[in-house]
Amino acid sequence: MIDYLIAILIFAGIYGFVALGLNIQWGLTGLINLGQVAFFAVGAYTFALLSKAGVPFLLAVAVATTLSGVFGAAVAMFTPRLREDYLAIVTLGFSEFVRLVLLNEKWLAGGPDGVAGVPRPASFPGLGSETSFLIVTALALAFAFWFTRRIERYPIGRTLKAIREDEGVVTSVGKVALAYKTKAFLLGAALAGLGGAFFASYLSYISPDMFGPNVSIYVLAAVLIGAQGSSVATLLSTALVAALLEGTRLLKDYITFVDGVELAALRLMVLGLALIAIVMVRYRPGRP
Amino acid sequence: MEFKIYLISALVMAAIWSLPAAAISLIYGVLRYPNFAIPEFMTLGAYLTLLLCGFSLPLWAAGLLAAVVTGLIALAVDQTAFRFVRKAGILPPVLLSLGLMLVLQNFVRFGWGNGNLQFPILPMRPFIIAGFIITPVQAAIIGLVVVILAGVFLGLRYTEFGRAVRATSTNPELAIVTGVQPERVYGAVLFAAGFLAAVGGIVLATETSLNPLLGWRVLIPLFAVAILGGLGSVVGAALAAVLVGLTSEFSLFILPSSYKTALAFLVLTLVLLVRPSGLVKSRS
Repeated sequence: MIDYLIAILIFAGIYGFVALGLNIQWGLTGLINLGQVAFFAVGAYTFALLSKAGVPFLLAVAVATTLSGVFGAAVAMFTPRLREDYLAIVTLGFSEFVRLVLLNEKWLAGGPDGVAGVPRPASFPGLGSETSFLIVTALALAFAFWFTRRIERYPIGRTLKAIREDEGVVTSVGKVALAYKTKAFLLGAALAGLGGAFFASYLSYISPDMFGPNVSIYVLAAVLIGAQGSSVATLLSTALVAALLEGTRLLKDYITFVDGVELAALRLMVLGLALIAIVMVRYRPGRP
Repeated sequence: MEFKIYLISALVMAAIWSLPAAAISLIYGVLRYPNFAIPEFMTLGAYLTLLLCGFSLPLWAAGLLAAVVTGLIALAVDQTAFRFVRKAGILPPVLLSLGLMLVLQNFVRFGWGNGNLQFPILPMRPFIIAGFIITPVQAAIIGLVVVILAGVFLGLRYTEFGRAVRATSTNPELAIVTGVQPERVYGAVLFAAGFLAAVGGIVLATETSLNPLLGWRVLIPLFAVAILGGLGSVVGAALAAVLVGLTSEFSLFILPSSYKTALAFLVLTLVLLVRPSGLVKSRS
């Protein structure tokens, strides 16, 4: 039971990075990103390939984070002045594009077989691998949390919020909105990549089918429950979503009347229904 | 020879894409949001057809019934969920459609599993006309799609209700002032979109096979087609479908076939960057 709890906490932490990243883009700056899983995947694969090649844990994490950030900045720079709805389509399309590349380029990342044998960081003396990993994840998440809090409170955060409220005003005081939007996308994507690195390390095996749109929807739901804004609320709601979804994964041992595929399908149906319910509550008529 | 094979295959792809793309385009034009659940209505329509075929209905009857039922489901979801966020901007319906996408796709997965299934149709000898090889199923798909598209086009153009739909698309406030009831228009558009998407899914499944990812796999080409066609324009969607179909088939000369969807994504991004109003300027 305690093992299950640790697993849920680790998953909550991993999705916490991704959700904190989405919160910078969407919650703070108002840029919708339906393809956060793309940057998650870039981080996961970069980390997996590097650490299998013998690169030390911290360096592999740093490179994975940076490369995801570069991808994020590139997406933002290629889509300047794109309307909200078009940005939604492009980001969703981009995430599927990334998945297709990973699926088809066997030389790069093993194609459909994925990458196996991704190492974990060394365990702390006297502690198990799972517990050690939880501690490392928690430390990294604390750092990411401190970092996003700083962004929220510092001038850059105020500018990003101002872009969300009225881009014209920001431009009129001489700030280049595109540069700030690019920064927001870069930071958000980098955090997703950081989460991806931990994801690959924890599971030790990754394959393209793990990076479908449901991961993006996971974190969208979490940020939405957290009312798009504060990092604290985002982290708490991510923990809630992870507990609900990863928690139901554990039901597999107790529920025998549905098979694995059916249970997986049921969990994703519940996620879809939950997203619908959250949106209905959050945007019900008469709410500002 | 190779050229003729690719041409037929491009036209069949275009025919299959044009109906669901028209559905996306109609919803976008009238309700102004991209509906990511449309590809899942394709999947649902195909699986409902399979279900009905199991009751020894002929394929055409099963397909028609399934398409109507899918249209009704689309209408019901609109009335129970989307209706309540009509005035809340573009984001809420987008998020709702994402949620709906997950629900529908996994409903099918829950019911029928992950495997590939086939409609009960026998393989038939292809026609050869002037060197073009076309199977009877492909010929039927192209014919059916042309008839349905013509029907939608004429309906929008020349009927009273079609005029109300176009008016709501162009200027909702003015349409209301002139006595159009927008909710009736929205309802009809959603039913039509569900119906068109289902027919698209059924014909796609006849050409390929049934799979829970049937619709999801064509999401990007569909949005490329709908946007390239100028959102809200059914004729535009059909023309754009032919163009994207030709591009992606003839790309096979230089790219592996697994990259068809990726290519559609590049087309989509280019169109959004260079000419977001689409090829055919819609009349709004």
